[in-house]
Formats: sequence, C-alpha cells, structure tokens
Amino acid sequence: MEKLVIKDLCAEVEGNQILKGVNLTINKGETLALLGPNGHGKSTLLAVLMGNPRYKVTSGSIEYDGKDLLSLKVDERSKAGLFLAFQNPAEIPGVVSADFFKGAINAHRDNKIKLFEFYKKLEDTCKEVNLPFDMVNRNLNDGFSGGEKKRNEILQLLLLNPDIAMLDEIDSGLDVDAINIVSKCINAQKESKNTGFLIISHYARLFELVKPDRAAVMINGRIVEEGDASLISKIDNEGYEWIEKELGILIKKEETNKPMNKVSIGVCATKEVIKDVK
Amino acid sequence: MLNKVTSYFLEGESNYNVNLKDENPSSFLLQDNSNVTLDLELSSKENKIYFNLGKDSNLNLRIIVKHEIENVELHANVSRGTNFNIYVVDLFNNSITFKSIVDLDQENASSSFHLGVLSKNDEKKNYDISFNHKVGRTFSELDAYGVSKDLSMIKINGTSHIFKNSVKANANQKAKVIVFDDEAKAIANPILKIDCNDVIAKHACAIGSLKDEYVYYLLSRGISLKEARNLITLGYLLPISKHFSKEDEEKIIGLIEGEF
Repeated sequence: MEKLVIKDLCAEVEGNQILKGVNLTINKGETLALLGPNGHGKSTLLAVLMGNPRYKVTSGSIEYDGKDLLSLKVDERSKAGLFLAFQNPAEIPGVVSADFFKGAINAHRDNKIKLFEFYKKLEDTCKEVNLPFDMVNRNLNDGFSGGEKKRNEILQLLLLNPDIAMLDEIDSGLDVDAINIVSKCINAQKESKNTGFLIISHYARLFELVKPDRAAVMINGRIVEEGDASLISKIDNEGYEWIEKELGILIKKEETNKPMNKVSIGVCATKEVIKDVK
Repeated sequence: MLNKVTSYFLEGESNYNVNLKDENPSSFLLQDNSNVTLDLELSSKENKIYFNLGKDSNLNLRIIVKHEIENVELHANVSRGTNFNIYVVDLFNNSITFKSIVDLDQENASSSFHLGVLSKNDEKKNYDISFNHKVGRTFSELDAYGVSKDLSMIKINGTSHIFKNSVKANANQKAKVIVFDDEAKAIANPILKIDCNDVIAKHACAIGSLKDEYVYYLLSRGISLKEARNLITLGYLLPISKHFSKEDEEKIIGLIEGEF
C-alpha cells in the first residue's frame, strides 16, 4: 500500500533551491534506502517531509495516506504517523527526558498513559536500545554522547510506533555493537508494527543488517535512480561516478571552501583597574 | 535614628523557619561547625538582612519571594571553610529590587546564589548579586534562570570582584533568561572585576526567545506548540524547586505550572 507519495517536490532554504523535482514513493512495511553524495538534498528531503519551518516548499506535492501532508503542521504530521530520527538531535537543557517522552506518548493517544504503564514501557524500551534507565531523569540529550543520542532517537521511535520512520544517518557515530542493537530494533519494529522505513546512510554495514527492499539515489536534488537492494552494493563498490557515465548527469561537487560569514564574537569580559584602598 | 537590629542565632545540625515581619533590619549569626537550613519568610515591603557566618559551617538559605516585597538587601560575611548557599524563587510577587552582597572574607569560604525568577504583566525585577573575593582560595557561583512574559522586565547584574592577592579565587556566573513574549525584556550584565592573576573567572549568559531548534524537535514528536513552549520554559524554572522542602517544592511546581 502506498503510504507516502512525493511528486515533483521543489524546496529551498534561505533562497537556495535544494530539492529540484523529487519523485518518490514509500510503502508501508517496506524499507527504502536513500543514497547519494553529501550535500545533494537527502537530509533536506527528510526535513521537508517532517515540516521543518526553515525549508520552504516552492512546488510539488506530498500525499500521506491520500491526504495533503503539506497542509499539516509539524506536530500533526507526527500524530499522523510520521517520525524523523534526527542526524543531530537537539540538546534541550531543563527539559527532563521522561517528561518529554510522556508528553510525546500522550500526544499520540486519546487517553493519557497511566504512570505505571508509562514507566514499565519506558524501562522495557530502554533495555531494548541498551540505554541505562536513569537516563530518563536527565535533561533531553543534554550531555549525551553521540551514540546515546542516536539510541535515544530509536527509543522514541519504539515508544511512538510510527507508520513511516525516517532515519537520517542513524548509524553515524555508532560502534559495531550499537549498530547491531539499532538494526535489531529497526527489524523488530518492521516485523511487529509493519512500519515503513526511509533510511539515509553512507555505510553498507547498516543496510546489510536491515536489508532494504528498495534503494533510491538522490543527486543534484532529484531522485535519479531507483532499484532493488543490489543498487546499494553497486554504490558501495563503485561509488557514484558510474552515474555520471551511464545517466549522463554531472554530479555537483560539494563546496568546501565557502567564504566565512563575517561574525563578531563580541566582548566577553572587561577588566577594570581598581584603585588600591589604603 | 538607629533602627534596632533583631538578631537570630543559628547553630548545630538544624532546620529553622523564620518569618520576618517588622523585624528590620535582622541579623543572623551562624555558629562555628554548624550545618543549618534556614527557610526565611519575608513579609515587609523593605527588608534588610545581615548574615555573619562562623567557621567550618554550612548554611542553606531558602527564600520564596512573596507579593508585598519591594526591596531586599542581603549582606553576608563568610568565614574560613564555610559554605553559604542562597536559593531564591520569585514567581508571584510584583516588581522587586533584590540586592545581595556576599563577602568571602577568609580562605576556603564559598557561596552560591541560585535564582528562579518569573516576571509578568508590567513587573520589573532587578537582581543585583555581588560576591567579593577578599582573599584567595574562595569560591562563588551565580546560577540564575528567568522567564520574562508580557510587558515585564528581568534585569540580572552579577558582579564578581576578585581583590588583589586573592590567588586561586574561583568565580562563576551563569544567567539564562527566556523572553517569552515580543514586548518582554531581559538584561543580564556579568561584571567580572579582577585585580589578581592566577584566578578562575567564568561567565555564561544567554538571553533570547525560545530556540526554534528546540521547539521544532518537540513538535516533531507530536507535542503541540503551546505544550512545547511550556515544557522548555518549565525546564528553566523547575530545577531550583528541588532545593526546597517537599512541601515547598510542590507549592513551587504548582505555581509554575499554573502560570503556563
């Protein structure tokens, strides 16, 4: 069943056109690997799907369950069953993780979750992602290691049970054991809840473990190639150069020497000369 | 004419609950080798309070600021090996000027001032917090969190003065204020007066509206905009409540949640 249908999607950030006519479909219960060189619009696509206000959709459409996703606010998209695991999750001082989790779970339910049920669910899910339970009393992502942040994203995915989960480089910064845990959670979620996954990663290891049904390649803000999982091995072995040759697409290189913005670091402290008091 | 000073003696391992009505000015004397928690209730418009802390002691002073208070002046002298922690919650009074001056007179004296302040309507809340490191190996910390709503203003001046020859003094300041509404204002002035080398002096200051990045993250988990704003804001004000008694902690949490 088609869950998410993206048609001719164009989007910009601060006047820069990033997405230039994306066409892509994601079905419930399937895993789609989204590949592509750095800076070609993969993360932007996920941000636009989630409704990040920094990005402006200039044309095209996104249908979710037959409805216009673009007309929904960010929280409404989440409640409709969409989930984004962030590449760099926000660190929010002062917001206790447990309070945040409870608020998020309740937002997806008609009746508020009972306290005992909540803590039981939280404790079980922490075990699944191998995070210590006392982490729930810490401020959200504040002072977490890179690996803890990523596992915290998966923890939220498991708590919220989305229909479609988008994972933006969930494996970056994870050691081998953590990648195994994360992939096990993804597979279990897909198996038990029929969740569809859209996964961005630069490493074949994660894809070997989660076994995507399909793969799509994004270059210059467009999906230029779609195929089965063999596309992942081809890119892992040969890189992206063959696309230039076979499809006749010139791959825009990532700008590495952009001029720095003019910034002021301001005045941090002043030293005053204090007269001796005799 | 000299006002009569009402004196209180604090000693041993004790919790004191003192309601200051017309006893102005008031003086508190902490005996040597004591460990005391003092819950101070202020009921006058004008309040002058003096603290004299003996050696090798600890005093936790807790104040929940009430409606009728307009001015508070707190002066303290801290002796060798003594720690003076001040916790102030200011959620539901009108405009106020709160001035605190703590003199760290002897080595290994330390003091901290923790503040949770909420301003609303057209209130003006001025906090002027000073630590004077008169000798070396003294420690001070200002930890201030505020939320400014409506047309109100919060001003926090933090002054850490490290005197000459106060080697190894350590002064820290942190002030964070959320400006909740367009017309609300917040000012934080970290002032470090340093007249000695070989010291540590740090300050961190953050004033601004709610970070879009934070709000977006919470929204992406289905939390509504109103709830997201409240959750972030509560995160600024709630942490100080854990330093109060269970009863007061519940009262503070109730007051904060009632505001948002």
